[in-house]
Amino acid sequence: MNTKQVLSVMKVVSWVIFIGLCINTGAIIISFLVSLFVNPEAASDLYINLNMSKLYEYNLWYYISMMSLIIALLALKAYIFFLVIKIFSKIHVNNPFSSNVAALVYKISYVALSIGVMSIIASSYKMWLVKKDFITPISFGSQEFLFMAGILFVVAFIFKRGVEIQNENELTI
Amino acid sequence: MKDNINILTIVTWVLLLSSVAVLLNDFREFDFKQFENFQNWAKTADGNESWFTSKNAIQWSYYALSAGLFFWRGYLIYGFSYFLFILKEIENGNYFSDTNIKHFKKIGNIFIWYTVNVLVLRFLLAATRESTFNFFNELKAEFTFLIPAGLAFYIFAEMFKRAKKAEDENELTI
Repeated sequence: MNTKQVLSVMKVVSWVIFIGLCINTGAIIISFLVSLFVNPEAASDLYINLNMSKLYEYNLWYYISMMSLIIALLALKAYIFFLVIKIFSKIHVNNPFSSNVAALVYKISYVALSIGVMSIIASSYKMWLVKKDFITPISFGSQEFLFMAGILFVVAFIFKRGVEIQNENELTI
Repeated sequence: MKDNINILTIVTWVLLLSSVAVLLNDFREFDFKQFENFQNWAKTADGNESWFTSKNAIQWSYYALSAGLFFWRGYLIYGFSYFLFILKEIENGNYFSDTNIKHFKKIGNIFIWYTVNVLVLRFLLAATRESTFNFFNELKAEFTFLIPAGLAFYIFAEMFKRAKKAEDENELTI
């Protein structure tokens, strides 16, 4: 499988994931707003059988906090894939190293780090709710995003080095 | 940058060791519970029944498929260990070395193979237990991280190959 084919597959995969995450985020935002302003029953089936009705009944502000964290995490994940799609629109197979792409990779690493940190906060909040006998049926995976942030930060640094080498080459020519 | 590499190396070691510990613990629990269930079933099973009747085949295949899932988890952890070699090369200033290119390709291969094989095993496991298998739900978790990450590492390997070529040309010119 050559680079162009892999790039095409990646573009399609990124678009599919981006659209999926946007649909997820939009659906949860709409059902959250419906549960707040129209019908509190909506809290029992927010999206894909997510049931937060007990938390809603116990304390509205806990419910709003938890849902804000969930929505923020989904939105940030969608933003990562938006940045990935942007990279594919700017990258050239023959001259892949450009300062725009390096800057975008840095941005993705910062967003991944934000997701990791926010997931840790959300997990801690979830544990605090568990102590109050509320078990929320959602898990927040922070490790993979923190790891990804680290790897991408290193890759972005290497990209910068690649840009320098490419520029030196072009100057020499 | 060297400090960042050191921090990342430590984080990678912590991640690897904790993943191995979790995998070994899960395997010990699986082996203990599943094999005990299997032994209890074997004591009361009808020895005259043909091997390919549903109960015999299902019990064996469920046990084998569950063990297979552990193997692939171990394979994924093995893939993550390649990051340590890549970080070592970067620490030594060899950004676009052949080792890094080879290792990025290997990591990409491992991520994709893991996803495909785990999906197949989970489908077979659901079939043996006659439970529902929602392909899109199962694919979601791996799809949003491992498949794009695997493909991204293939692309990084290709880009690093081109950068290495440019670096070599530069050095020849000098």
